[in-house]
Amino acid sequence: MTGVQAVSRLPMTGLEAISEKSSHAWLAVFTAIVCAHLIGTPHIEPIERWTAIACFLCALPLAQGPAGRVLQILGAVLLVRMLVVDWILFANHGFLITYFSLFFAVCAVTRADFWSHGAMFSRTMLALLMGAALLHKLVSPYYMTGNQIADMLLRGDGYTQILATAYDGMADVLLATKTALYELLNDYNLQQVGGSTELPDLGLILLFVIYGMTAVSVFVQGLLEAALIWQRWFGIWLHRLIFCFSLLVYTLRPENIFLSMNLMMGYAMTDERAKGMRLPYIIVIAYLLISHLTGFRPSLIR
Amino acid sequence: MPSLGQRTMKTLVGAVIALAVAIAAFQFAQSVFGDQTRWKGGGFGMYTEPHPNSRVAWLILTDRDGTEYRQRLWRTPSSYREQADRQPAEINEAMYGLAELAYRRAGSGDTALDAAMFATADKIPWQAGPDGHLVVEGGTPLEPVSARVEIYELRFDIHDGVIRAVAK
Repeated sequence: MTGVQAVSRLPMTGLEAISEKSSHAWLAVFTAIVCAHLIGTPHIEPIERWTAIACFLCALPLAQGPAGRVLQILGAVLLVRMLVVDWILFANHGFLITYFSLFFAVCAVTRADFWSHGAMFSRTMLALLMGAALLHKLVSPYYMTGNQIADMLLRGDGYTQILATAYDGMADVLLATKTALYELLNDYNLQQVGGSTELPDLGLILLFVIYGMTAVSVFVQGLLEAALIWQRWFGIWLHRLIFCFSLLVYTLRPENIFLSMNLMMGYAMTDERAKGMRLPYIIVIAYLLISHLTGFRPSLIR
Repeated sequence: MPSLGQRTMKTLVGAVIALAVAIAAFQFAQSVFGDQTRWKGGGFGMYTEPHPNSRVAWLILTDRDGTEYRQRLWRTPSSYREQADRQPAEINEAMYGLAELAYRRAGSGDTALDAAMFATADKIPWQAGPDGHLVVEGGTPLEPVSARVEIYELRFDIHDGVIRAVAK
């Protein structure tokens, strides 16, 4: 037995065991997200999608060996190819997934421990995501008017049930909006003259929610960006903010894969002080992926 | 597989980060100065403008006497599957291909897609239908002299209390 083999057979300390399990769990979570993402991406050819899924799934149990590394690299190459071919149609979470697949491929090529570098990579990517999103929000002529949130709320994409309990006219507003949208979408003559359809009186509660939501989402995103920059100062609050941001987005649109990626990055940033957050991360990601694949979405929140 | 070392690893991970930053910056510039939708393309500008699903595209053909005929281009493949029993599969396929190109053109502002878009439209045996609509069966023969695609986007304006169609 060589010295190296002898060392590797020493029993793991508690810390090493946690790190080892977290590392495997992180890779498993990423693999699950990639699979759920590819299953629900109909504009990519099935043969390409299923080959990539097979690569990532087979790489998971073989991650420590050469075959696993080759499969991880192959999976990343396939994702990059899908992105290059159709980058205009690729949603932002598709880009994030590809960047992380490249990260795992780099770790496979260099035989580096992905868990020990994952926190830095996740922090950088999440800071880029939040920073860019904040920049878009600040320069967008549409967003800060509250119209974007109005678009989603009035189509019935968010808080429908909660608003209906507080605002008697909610059902009428939704019905009138859907009728108006239908007319506008189908009437070419109306569109040609820049036609418009008047909304019913929205009521103070609905207006308050629309403007409030716009302000709160910008504030939370700004706070999250600050927490990523000054992670040590914010400590456990970074993870609470990630959950808070995810809940805000969850209430608006079915963005389960995007949210799973955010939470996966949060998971990778859990240090010893925040390791209690690992289980909630895993549970919420599992819920998001299962509900994404089954189409389940609680009507109380939606 | 031999180890390439920490330095190589850091360089490669740095390259992935640099790529992500470059793509985000490029997409940001395209969305501010061009027609690229903020929702797609790696710039992370979701929720800052109407979703591309708020867009509706029309193909407009003009015949010799200047009469215009139009066909709405549906975005979803299911809309064409519903018509599968009414018109041949290759026409449905061409219509969906045309719609994809039109929405992609609107999302990216890429004029290089124009030629492919109109070549696809040309594959469909359009006929003049009732009320200025284009049909592929049951209409009268049509010899178009020009073609264009118009895209409209629906925008909410809670200040004015209206939903407005904005030409793209």
